[in-house]
Amino acid sequence: MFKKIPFLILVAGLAASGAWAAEILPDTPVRHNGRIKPFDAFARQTLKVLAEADKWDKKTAFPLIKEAVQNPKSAASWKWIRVDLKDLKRYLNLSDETHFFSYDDLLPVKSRVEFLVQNAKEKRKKDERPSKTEQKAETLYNQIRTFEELQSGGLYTVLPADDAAVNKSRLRVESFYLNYEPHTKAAALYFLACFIFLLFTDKKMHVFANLCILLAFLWHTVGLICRVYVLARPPVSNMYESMIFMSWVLVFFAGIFSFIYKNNIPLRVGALVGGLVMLYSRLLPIDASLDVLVPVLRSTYWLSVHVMTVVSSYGAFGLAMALGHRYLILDYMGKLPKKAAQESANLMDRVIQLGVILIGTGTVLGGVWANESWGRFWGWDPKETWALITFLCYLIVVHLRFLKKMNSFWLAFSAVLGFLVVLMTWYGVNFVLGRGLHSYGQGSGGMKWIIYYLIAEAAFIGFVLKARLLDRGFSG
Amino acid sequence: MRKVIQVFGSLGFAIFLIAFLVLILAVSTLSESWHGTPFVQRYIYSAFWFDLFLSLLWINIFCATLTRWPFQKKHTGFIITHIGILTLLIGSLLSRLFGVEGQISLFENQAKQNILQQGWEIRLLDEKQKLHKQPVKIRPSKGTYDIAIEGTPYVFTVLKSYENSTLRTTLSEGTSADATNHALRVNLSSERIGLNENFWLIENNPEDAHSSFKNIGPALIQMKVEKNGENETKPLLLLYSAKYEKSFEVPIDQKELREVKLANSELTLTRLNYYPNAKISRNELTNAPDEIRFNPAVQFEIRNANGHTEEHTRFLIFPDYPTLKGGLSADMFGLKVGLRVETPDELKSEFSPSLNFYFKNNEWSYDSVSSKGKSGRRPLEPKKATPTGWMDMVFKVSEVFVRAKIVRSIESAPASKTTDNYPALFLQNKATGAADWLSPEKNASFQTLPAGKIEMALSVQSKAVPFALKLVDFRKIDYPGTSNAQEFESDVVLMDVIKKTTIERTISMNKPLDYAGYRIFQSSFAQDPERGEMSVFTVAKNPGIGLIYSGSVIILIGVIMLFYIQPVWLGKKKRHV
Repeated sequence: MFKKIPFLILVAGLAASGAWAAEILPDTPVRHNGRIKPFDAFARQTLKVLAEADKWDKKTAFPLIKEAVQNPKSAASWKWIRVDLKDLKRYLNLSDETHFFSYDDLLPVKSRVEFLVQNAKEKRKKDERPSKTEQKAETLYNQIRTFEELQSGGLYTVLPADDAAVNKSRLRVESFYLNYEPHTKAAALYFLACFIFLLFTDKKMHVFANLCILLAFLWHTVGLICRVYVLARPPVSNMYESMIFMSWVLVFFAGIFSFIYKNNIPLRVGALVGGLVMLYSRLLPIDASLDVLVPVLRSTYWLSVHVMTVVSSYGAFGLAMALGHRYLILDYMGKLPKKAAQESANLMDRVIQLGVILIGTGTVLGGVWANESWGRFWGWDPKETWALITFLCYLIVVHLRFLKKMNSFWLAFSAVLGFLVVLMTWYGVNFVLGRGLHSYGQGSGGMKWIIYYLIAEAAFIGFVLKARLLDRGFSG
Repeated sequence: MRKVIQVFGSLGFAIFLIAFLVLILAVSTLSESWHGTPFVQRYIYSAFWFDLFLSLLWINIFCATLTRWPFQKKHTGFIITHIGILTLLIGSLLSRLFGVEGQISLFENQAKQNILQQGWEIRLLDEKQKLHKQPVKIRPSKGTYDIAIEGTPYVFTVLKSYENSTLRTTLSEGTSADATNHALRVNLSSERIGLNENFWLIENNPEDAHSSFKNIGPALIQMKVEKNGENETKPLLLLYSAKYEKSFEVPIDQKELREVKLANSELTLTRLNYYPNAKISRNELTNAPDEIRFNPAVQFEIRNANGHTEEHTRFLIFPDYPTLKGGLSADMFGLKVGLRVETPDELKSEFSPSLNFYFKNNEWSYDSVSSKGKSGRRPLEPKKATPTGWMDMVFKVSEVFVRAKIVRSIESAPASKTTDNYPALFLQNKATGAADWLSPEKNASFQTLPAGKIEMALSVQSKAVPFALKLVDFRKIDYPGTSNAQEFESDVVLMDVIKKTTIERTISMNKPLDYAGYRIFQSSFAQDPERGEMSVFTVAKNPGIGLIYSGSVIILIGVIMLFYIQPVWLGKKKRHV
């Protein structure tokens, strides 16, 4: 049964102990991408690369990859490598009918893929952006290479369970994290709570909804703790982690403000936006896997504090944005009495103030880290520049509010608008500008869902402006 | 006066300044995305007008603070915050004016007490072997100007000045006295995949044995000059060492060779394997005559006198890039590796896909081979776009040479967005009238200016620091099971001769060494064939950093005062204004 397992692994395994050879199990430790992880985690990551999905042919990653490892010849004929770009398929003479191809289908056109990849490489060397076809060809090339390395066994190393490098409890936590998907559960519960608030007016149901949020927040927290424990680093090192952390902070702040002001509203809108951010973290093509870091990010205290502070400020601004939407919608519908409007504005003030303190502090801490790490406090890197822009934009709002030069309507409006600047800092700098120190290991693309959000938000803003300026539709 | 202060310190002015700053910054990050970091650093962030604009902000904050005079209890938060901002801005100004930032690159067991900074200087070694340094600003030239080297009688006129230059290879037609050397300039393009490539096919180029053909992906574009009565050639390994400025030819008689000394050099070929039908399978190079009809490859190991070895693999056709594994580093000997193999007759014009240019009986023709078959030979029409017949591509021959002469020259180039720019100056000695290029680029043989017995160079500006730094050991630590770096570490010794202090320390990423106001950071590393690993450190002195840090803390205190303490302290109604 194991004759297909590459020789090297066999030797390594046998040399250490005979116990490993029993059977590949989901929690068999393997070394992959510089980290020791359960076989299941490796399988999921590999399937994600090949099929760009969590399942293929209704089978999950573990049995699939296990079979592929044990039976590489037949795996070469599985049509599970996803290629979806029409232009690329045409260039490779692949069928337009399907998105999935087997290694055997792709092998004859590998040289064409290599051709495009080399073009892309040349362009990157010259600092030009490769064409979409070339970028997709790079993805495809990576898929082909991954499959070949999976076949040859170069991709991973199976370790004996009693290897000294294996931390069993870490493996167990990682398996738990992968099997229970705490963040999916949390998002679902946030949405459930929002539906209850929307559909029921019954007090008891509201108590139940609040319990749902509490449970969701617990799952959310458990998920974060799992990541921190498995990777032994703060949960803010890539886009996925920062989205999960931002939504956690958002709900946390919502809870705090709800508690202080004895007002359930921040928690309700917070749960909705928190759930949406978590949903987005799944929709965007960003890497959710647990992986190691480049040396400069492998640091320290200041880096963690800096990033966590800045991402927390996004959480606060996200909450302000949610409150802003609520304010504008209710005000337009005429369902916002003066006292409630005043309360809501006061809340937005407080949330924005918190955000300003956090982003200001976070940006300065970034300077501290930069100074500790490479001797320069400020370097006009695009990300830090955009953090400064965000800070300055909200600073204008804070100033105008302090001097009573901005009414509640425009405050709510600014809270909505300001979050677009936050998005630019958070997502846009890495994916739109694609430059600078902060663009470590970021992919490209996935603009679709962001564009949907932007269109929806632009329509909302346009509608509000029209109603306000032309139809005088708001109180103020 | 009070009125002026009120206007400059007004909220309206502040909001205008902040909004304008936001606009400038947004535009500048966008233009950074288009034009690259050096562009915005030079035209925005380091520009005089930007400093001027930031000082307006300073004036605004200062005046705003003054307008609150005499201060009252309700102003506490406001005053603290604004004093914090002013402190921070003074700190950044101090750092800007008196800060130092540079780099030291050290090999193991090497010590230096100079750092390299941004900017350029002319170095002149005079008749008495004394070194003079003259900083120069390199700007695109408008007319000529003079540079005097301080401490020497030499004055030079700058005739041309390029901020960024490249060493360009151009061809020109020789005279009938020159040997024939056929060359074509070919453009290959495809709209569908956005390809547009220009390249030369040259019969003989001493620096590039592969100059008569070009691989683009799996496709082969080649030029064949057919001479009468020439014998079939055996496989031949061609080597050109930029370091020794020599080329070598090693005939391959059998599939394996051992120990060939390369004439007039300290290089020895220690092992050579020849694969007429090369295939990479499971990361191993093998001969697969059943699968591969024609793809010769050669794999060999080369060793220098110090015993450092380097393994090279060169394919004739695909993959079309050489691979090498090094002892100390990649490409220690600056080798360009070529392989010359006569194509077997039955494959001669059958390689698919390919585009073949022929020169026979004083006429150019071409044919192309694709999976659909082979086109007949057609006469070549220069400057006409013609389909290749494969991969939806179009080719065009723009220039044709019979006696091509290869000329290298320095030319102005567009500024690079990412890599370092190499400036170039064309200088004329005022006294003697001799003129030549000065450029720091490697391989540019223009380093010295014939101006008597002096030597000159254009170099990165250097600055002495009050200590010497010595590298003892450098280590790159990888994540287990990968070649991805986990950490870089350097063991260093810092020596201050005047104060007679010696510090031994390990510097790693994020763990710098502090000395006398300077911080020394691990920045990157490089490898050199002869001297081993080189560790690169950033050395920075940031005199304003204390003020920046304390300013930040003061701001935070002020803001917390303003947002959270004052409302409680003074009651909700009374705000700070």
